[in-house]
Amino acid sequence: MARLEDVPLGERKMMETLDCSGFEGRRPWVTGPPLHKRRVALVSTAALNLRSDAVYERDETAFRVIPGNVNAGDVVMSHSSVNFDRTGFQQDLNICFPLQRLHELADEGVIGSVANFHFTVSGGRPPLDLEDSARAMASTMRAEGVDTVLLVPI
Amino acid sequence: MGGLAIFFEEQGLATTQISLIRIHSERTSPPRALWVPFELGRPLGVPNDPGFQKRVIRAALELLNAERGPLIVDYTEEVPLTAAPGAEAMNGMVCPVDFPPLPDETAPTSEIGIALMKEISALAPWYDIAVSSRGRTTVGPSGLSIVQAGKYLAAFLEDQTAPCPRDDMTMDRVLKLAYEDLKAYYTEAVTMQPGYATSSQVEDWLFRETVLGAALWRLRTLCRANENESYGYLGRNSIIPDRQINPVNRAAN
Repeated sequence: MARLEDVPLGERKMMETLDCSGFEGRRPWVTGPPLHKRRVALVSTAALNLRSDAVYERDETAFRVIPGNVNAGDVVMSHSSVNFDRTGFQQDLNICFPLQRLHELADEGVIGSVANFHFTVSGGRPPLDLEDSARAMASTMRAEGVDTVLLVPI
Repeated sequence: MGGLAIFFEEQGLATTQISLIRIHSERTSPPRALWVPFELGRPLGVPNDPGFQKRVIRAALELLNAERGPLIVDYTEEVPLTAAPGAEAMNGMVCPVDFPPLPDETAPTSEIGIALMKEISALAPWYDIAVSSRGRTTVGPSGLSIVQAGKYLAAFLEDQTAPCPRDDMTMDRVLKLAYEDLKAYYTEAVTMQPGYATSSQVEDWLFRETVLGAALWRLRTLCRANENESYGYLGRNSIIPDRQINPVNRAAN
């Protein structure tokens, strides 16, 4: 369904006209240890937050922290868009925030370890708006030894 | 998403990502992106299918072994048509709930409010089963009970200056969170019922066959006509999904 031709016209226009400028010529390429030694954090654009946290406001560019040992029942969503499916999230948090799957991959030795803290933002904004939040998230991740980020959209 | 990846890499973190909207990845050109052919809202493909989900994650992680980039790789495994494990081949949904009759388009708003509260009550057993079975609910961001949320929506439909049940958020935000909680309550309940329903079947049911759906269509009309820009935004963008408004262009799934 995420094939553009399958997206309804209004939503498709928004996707096609979203301002993605500002990244021309920016081609960073960070390498790292073998996969089985990497420490991985999740970053989601699904506007997930803990029940005890403030919900996302429309057009907010701040981030929320999700602890690695979170109970799935403590995670809710406050994204403003109505143009994506939420029934998958309602049935299984891993459909958009695969923390349990990451822990399993760590147990299987595919990755080294899973970060203690993970992050969410509210997507749908021009990506340049999130630069300050990205710097703050990166600082926290580096401080706990994270070397790799798996980004998951909604 | 691609922009975030570039920011993180510039801060010294290696990244890999799942991509749902390929043109955004093409435009931002993040170091490593795995484009998946799944519907929006389901970047890992199939709920409650750890094997499927781990294959997607592993494919994204394996991009970290590439020697150079940026690269966008297409993931080719499709979501099975029979979808979730345990799904039964059925046309549509079984819905053994005694719903109140759907008010017609000219029904007074007060009638919609009464019917809405009856409908919420009728779904309660299924919602309770859903919470018990899944061990969680996603209802709750509004901070209101589901009855309070329903009453507020009904009150707003009758009078857009109705008192807001929370004073720590803007009224439009409380309204949005209240009807999103109601939508979650309904869809969590209905997806527990026997049989299998795709996300678009559930959405059709919600917006075409329930009193809540009728209430939301009416809310959309009211908000679009409201002089308050925040309500206008809700009416234009944030109540009814685009694929319900433009069914001609709707997706196949």
